[in-house]
Amino acid sequence: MNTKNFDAIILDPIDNVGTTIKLLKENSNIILKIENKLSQFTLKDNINLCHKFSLNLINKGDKIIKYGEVIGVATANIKMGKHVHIHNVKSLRG
Amino acid sequence: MKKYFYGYKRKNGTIGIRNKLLIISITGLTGPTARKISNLLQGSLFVDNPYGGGIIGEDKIRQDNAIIGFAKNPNIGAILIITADPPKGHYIKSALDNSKKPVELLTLDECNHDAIKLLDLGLRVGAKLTKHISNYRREKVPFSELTIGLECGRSDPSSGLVANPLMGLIADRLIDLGGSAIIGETIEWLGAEHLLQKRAQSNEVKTKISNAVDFQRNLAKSKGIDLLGNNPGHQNIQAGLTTIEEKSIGNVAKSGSKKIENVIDWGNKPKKKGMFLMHAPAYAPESLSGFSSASCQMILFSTGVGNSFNNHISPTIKYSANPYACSQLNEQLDFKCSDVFVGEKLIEKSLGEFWELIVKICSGSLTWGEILNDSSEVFSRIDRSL
Repeated sequence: MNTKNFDAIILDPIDNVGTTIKLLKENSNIILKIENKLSQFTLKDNINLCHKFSLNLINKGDKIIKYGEVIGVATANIKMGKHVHIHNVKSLRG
Repeated sequence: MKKYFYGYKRKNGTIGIRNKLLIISITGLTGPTARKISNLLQGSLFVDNPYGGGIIGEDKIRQDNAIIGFAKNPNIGAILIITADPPKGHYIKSALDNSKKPVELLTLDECNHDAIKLLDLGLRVGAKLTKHISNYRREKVPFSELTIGLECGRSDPSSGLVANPLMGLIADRLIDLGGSAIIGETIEWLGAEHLLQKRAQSNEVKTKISNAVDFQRNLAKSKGIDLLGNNPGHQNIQAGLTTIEEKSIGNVAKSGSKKIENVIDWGNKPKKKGMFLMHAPAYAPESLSGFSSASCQMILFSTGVGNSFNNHISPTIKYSANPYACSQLNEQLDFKCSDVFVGEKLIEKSLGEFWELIVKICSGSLTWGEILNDSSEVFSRIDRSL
């Protein structure tokens, strides 16, 4: 299996965020990897290495899902392809 | 896959991966002199308990247990206890009887409170102990006597994606071979309790897991602390971790998939074999000393962006899956798995290479942390002194 040619990874099919494996630029067309399948995607923000971005429109109050698990809740509407981090997500437990 | 390594069989049946003289100052007054003695003796390890008579109650029990735990660690071949409190010295010495290791006790009192005399005497006694343990030899030993501590620090999402799952595979393999592993950092179970509880060996252990997390969470709340900025810390946030839940889910991947036998307190040795949780602080120095006091002979330490701190008694294998850290930290990272993170290598192949490294380190190859001496032991405090 050659999995070398991808830019970001989705850890579980139910996730609504992906994680970059390299620094990626706004408006770039990237390759997403999910369960050894690759697909195309367009980013709408510059995203640093290891940071997250939304895979679809996430509404304020929606849960953020990574690893197939809830990691927090959206504090604002997040458009598809945008950076997902502490400016638009908060912990449900912290 | 190698199922054996070369270690030091101790008289009480435990197995060390190192053979060190421990010079341990158990009172604050003797610390500076004991440090000089250790500096002059090749290969000795120095541990400094900077506290003394004012330590009381639970705090005292915790500290005495840690002193005894460090000294009983199988990596220690002999112990030189140095103290300004003779009764405490005798208490610690007799608590080490069942380790069957050579133990010597020196008090400042017997040197008429003269630190220079203590230095002279300590150097002579320490030299003899060093000579004695140099006669010990490594033998072929099984992994069943190995206990490893599982740590992460300065984590980023590459830790949760690759480095920690890799650690989990190592932990599973070790437990299949009859060995043991411990994961600490209670606050980093917050948001991932359900994943740990699914593996608890009894309902009692399940309850202990949620009680431990509630305790740490309430501690933060009672002090008015918002976990964001504390845990995940600023470096974690900069590196891409957003919430404690996200960090915790990545963190508990370190523990693999085996049954969780019990929740133990900071520094306490597990009473049987298998996978254990240690209810303990998350910051690396205190967390790692919990492991070495609990008799872990080795520590696996994943980092995202880099973390130079190592445990003193238990060789600490540093590794990362972050491509930038792997390209920069050549004299810190003992193992690199960024090739798995970027998809150039399968995790199974990395697992085989990592296991080979573990066999080598257990058999005497040095970690960067040992070579550079970037290591220390600390005592955990939970109360005020008199």
